[in-house]
Amino acid sequence: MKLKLSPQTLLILEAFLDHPADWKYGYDLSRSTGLKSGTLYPILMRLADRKLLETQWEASGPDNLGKPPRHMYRFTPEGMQFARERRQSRTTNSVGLPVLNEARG
Amino acid sequence: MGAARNLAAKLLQAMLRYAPPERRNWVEAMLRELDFIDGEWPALFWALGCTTVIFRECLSAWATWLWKQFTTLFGIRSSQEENKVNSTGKKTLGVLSGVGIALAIGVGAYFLRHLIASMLRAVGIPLTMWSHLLSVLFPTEAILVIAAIMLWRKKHAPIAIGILVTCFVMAAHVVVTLTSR
Repeated sequence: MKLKLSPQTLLILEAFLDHPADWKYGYDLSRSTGLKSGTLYPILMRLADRKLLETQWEASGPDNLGKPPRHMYRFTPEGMQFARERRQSRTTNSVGLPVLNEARG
Repeated sequence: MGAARNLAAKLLQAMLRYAPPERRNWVEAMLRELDFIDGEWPALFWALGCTTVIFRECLSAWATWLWKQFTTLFGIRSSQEENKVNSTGKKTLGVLSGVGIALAIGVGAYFLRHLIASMLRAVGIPLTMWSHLLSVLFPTEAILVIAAIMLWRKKHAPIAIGILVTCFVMAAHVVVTLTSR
């Protein structure tokens, strides 16, 4: 699958791999990865376009009564496989960590 | 709501109106996140970042649209479509494209001959048959030959052949015209 794996994309893939079954919000991802919205959203869009991420609007319930619904993201099975393969190949090549640290600044 | 947050919300609401339809969902998502950002300035910076994203998406959508119009107008096929056309068809299309390009440049040079003649006169070169030939025919032929070589190197041999054949025919036409005078 052709996808530009920039250090920032790798950060996002790692963030999703932490709890792959959980839905994640845009702002929370921005805080956990340290990426600005201008960097984060293009990556999320590309991942969703390639069916590696599934997106969903939060259903309104008693917990978030009166709050606007949020857009949520999580890996599709293909996305999870893709991210795990990339993580494995990075571990094998042992170049992933310096790249990720560089992205975090 | 403070002024910065208000501005951020207004900015994203405006983006929602002008974003490409396929990206409106995303702008809506960015707008909703605004309510969960602590602080006025972080909210504004969030909105500014999102605005640049949407601006880039708009530019990309316009560029795609322009390219589509251009390819439709000039009959250029995308690589996916090209794969559907068989090999002979692709070669024929390439040669015809080359002929078309060479003719377009040749016709352009023909129409520019008066301008070139005026320029020659302006720099003090008398307008003779040879000055005319050197200023119109040779630059055109040189451009076409260089283009053909470059295309050949980039593995666009059929287009290069089309250009070279037309180039040769145009040169032969000039030679025959001159010798018959």
